[in-house]
Amino acid sequence: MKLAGNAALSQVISGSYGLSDHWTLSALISHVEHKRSIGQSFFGEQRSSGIGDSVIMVRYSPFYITPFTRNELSLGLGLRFPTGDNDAGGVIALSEDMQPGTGANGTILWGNFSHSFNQPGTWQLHSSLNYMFNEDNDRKYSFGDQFNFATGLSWHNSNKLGLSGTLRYRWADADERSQFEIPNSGGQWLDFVPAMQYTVNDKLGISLSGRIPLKRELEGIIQFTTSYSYALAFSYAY
Amino acid sequence: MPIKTRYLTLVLFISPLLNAAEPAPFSGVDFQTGENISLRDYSGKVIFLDFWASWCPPCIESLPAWESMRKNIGTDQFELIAVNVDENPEDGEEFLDRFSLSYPILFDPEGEIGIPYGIRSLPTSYLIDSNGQIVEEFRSFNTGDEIQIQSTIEALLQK
Repeated sequence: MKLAGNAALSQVISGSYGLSDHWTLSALISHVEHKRSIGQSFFGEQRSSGIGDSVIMVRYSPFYITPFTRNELSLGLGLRFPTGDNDAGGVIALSEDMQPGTGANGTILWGNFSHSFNQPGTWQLHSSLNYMFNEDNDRKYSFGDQFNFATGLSWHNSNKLGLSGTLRYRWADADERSQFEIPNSGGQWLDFVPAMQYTVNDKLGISLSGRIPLKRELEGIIQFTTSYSYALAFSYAY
Repeated sequence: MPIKTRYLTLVLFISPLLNAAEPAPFSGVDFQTGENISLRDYSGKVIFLDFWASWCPPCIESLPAWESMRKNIGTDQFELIAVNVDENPEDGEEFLDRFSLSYPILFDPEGEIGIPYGIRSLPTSYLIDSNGQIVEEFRSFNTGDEIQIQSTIEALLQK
């Protein structure tokens, strides 16, 4: 896939294994590609690509939606660790946010609550939140801690098609190097995320989603941030 | 400064295999005959226990498929029991008007039968051997699945 303008492409493979009815183990690995063109910059166009960070998470669901219960709660504890390069760019390394990986460990606290408005679960409310604590990498750089909260409604026709709309709030603390704040980093974002899911069969599903910015309050005068994004996901259960 | 971001995600879900387990005992009134039946009445037989609801799209195909499968196998050493889990049993009864079924059907609106079996989605079925052990779980239904399930049951009956 060719990137145009200032863009990033993330390819993510994640897997979940049901350890029991209540415990799930999940893992995620990503491949990241960045491209940035800086107007009159001496460096001109910057590019980087490679394996990004990986995440492993244990989730516990004390109760979940079934034909007999309407609510679902899941709590998770995850570890993010570097599996890719964070020194791309050769002699003069690219900025930290252009690196495929962060080069640092992180801890993720995650929670999700869903409520089904009817027995078939055709209408559901979803809310999730997570907090990520980020540590320093080998260049004493740490990405700011992050908090995400998302809530929305989903509908499916109990057959093939599902639609959802989600409001997503994200707060990120400023990045730091050697405990000094990096200017033009951190802020708050409010996005709307529409999504469509299609169930091909009882094993295969496809979903397409977008992220539309509603409000941003970014730290600093000049900050690179995502204007919009879209995601295509394939899921396979066996 | 704006950045466009694209994501391509591949998600895999893996479920652990079912180990043989003791089925939870149950009893109820058979919708077909009005008689009280229980799992114990069928001890020594291979049992196919199917959970369904009127709002479950695959159940439109699975219920008549089970009827054919039961006729093919016979009921000397085998029985098929269907459990409806509609919150409103009238919805289940109305749904049954579409079919001509002869196997026992129980209604379980409160989940007294379904909850102990840990039903998470519909249809879900269990194959219980003549020793009273759950030996296989089937989730969802696609046309033709009944052929494979019938072979599994016949193999179990020959053991």
